[in-house]
Amino acid sequence: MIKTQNLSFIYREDNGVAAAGEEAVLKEINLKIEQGSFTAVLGANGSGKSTLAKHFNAILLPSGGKVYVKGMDTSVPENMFPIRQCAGMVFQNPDNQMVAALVEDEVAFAPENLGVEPKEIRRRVDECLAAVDMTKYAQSSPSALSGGQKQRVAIAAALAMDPEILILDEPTAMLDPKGRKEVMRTIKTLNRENGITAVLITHYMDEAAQADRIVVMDNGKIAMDGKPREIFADVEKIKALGLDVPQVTELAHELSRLGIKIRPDILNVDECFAELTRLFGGAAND
Amino acid sequence: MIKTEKLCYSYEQDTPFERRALYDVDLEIRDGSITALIGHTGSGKSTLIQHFNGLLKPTSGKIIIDGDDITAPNADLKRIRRKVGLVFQYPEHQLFEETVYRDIAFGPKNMGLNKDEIDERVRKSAYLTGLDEKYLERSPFDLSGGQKRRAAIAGTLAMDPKVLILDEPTAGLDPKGGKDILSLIERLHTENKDMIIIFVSHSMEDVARIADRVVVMNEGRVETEGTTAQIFSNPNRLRGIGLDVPQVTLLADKLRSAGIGLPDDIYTVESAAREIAVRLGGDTHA
Repeated sequence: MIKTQNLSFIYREDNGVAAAGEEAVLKEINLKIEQGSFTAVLGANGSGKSTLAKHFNAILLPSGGKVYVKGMDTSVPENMFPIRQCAGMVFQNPDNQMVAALVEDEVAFAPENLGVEPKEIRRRVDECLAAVDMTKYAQSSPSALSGGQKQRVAIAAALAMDPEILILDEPTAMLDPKGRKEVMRTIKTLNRENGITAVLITHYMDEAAQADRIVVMDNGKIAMDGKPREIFADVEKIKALGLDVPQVTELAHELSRLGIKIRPDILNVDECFAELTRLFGGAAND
Repeated sequence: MIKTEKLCYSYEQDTPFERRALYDVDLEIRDGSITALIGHTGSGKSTLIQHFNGLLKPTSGKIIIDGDDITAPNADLKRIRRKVGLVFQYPEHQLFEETVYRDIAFGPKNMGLNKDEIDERVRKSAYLTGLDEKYLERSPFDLSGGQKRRAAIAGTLAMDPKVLILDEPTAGLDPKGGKDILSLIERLHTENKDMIIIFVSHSMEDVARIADRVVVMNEGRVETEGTTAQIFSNPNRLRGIGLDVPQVTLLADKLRSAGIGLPDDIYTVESAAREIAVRLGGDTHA
């Protein structure tokens, strides 16, 4: 779905040569994102996560190497519109993304600009608002919504372009716990039920734990790439990269340090609960 | 001490757009405490803290800081704003000077301090926020995300406030950057025994880590307040108002419901590991 080939990027450059004192933000990245997958991208501030994501819909173009979206080379100018239609993007601050006075106008904005037929626009708006569970707010003003609701409208607006890929750059960073859960639930539903390929950039480890795959960036390179269970099992390495693991994963790690024989690859509260009740059950039987 | 009595606030009062944001807020925040202010988006947290340094004037009710009624008609707002430092969300967006030094010096300079006094304040604030002196002569825009935020906090500390208020101090930072800011707050607390520190947060893990008191806001009212242990002992109540508890607190709650005897004040990974290991016969001295 998305493929990068020796992708390098330098913010200030001339013909691929960095300006004085300027370092490459991305260094020869080779990455393939499969259709229908849900990938989380982690990394410390400044590791290159957002810069990488902006290459996935041709907001940024490589200084070196290539990026292909559905086989389309992002550096070919004629490909820009089909790529942006195919890969929608949602950013951190919902307030910066809202332009319309009504939720449904917000969602209709992009297809209207593309000259889509009014009937088709109506169909898409209804479908996209339903997909993010915001149908009953169609006639509301975005300013009257909570952060989580606004972010779901931003997702609906991206969906209105009928994309196959959604790239979400820290969509929950400014939300309260309920808003975060709403947005995560929405992303997972779109991925599992609508087959949308999702790329989620986040600083929240419990969110990354819900993806199929985690790519960890460090200083412009891919430092780790694997299933959440594999990635988070290496607590020391993750911490050395300025990141963290979910609390229950860390708890299992701590317990095993204290001599308890517990699975090291626990990802969420339910798994930890099951494992601990098993251990306590065993202890009671001794 | 900060005390509010029947504090009420409406936005756009006496217009058709009037919206009530705070209802009868009665609070007492003691000297030397780290108080977390939590609540869903729109619950009134930010509105409340803007009252503490006179940015907003209550529609009715009183605010008394250090025995000073800041809502009195003749209140000296300049003096109040020196006493109460407010660090906004994403404060690094407000950095503007050519060097970090000049940015931190901006407040003390406006206070009319002489050069030596300013220099002392700048260096002390840099020290307190863990900013190495070598950064002082650099442009604030060349710093990393976490360092920029520390520089912005240093600018507020340079005013030598008695009360420090931080609105979502770790939002948008990577886990390590977030932890560094929390350690900074703890260090300020240790080095200034009387300082009142108030922070707004959506991260229950951050609250669990450093707060000693928690005020829970809901729909413009104080829903409940108490010690961190008291507040997190009732996960369902918090979830009912769009909040949450740390993963390990939820886990401990589930284990207790399953009949495993655990104390009800578990909210950090360290305490969870200790309490569980003891009961499973682990070596807690490891």
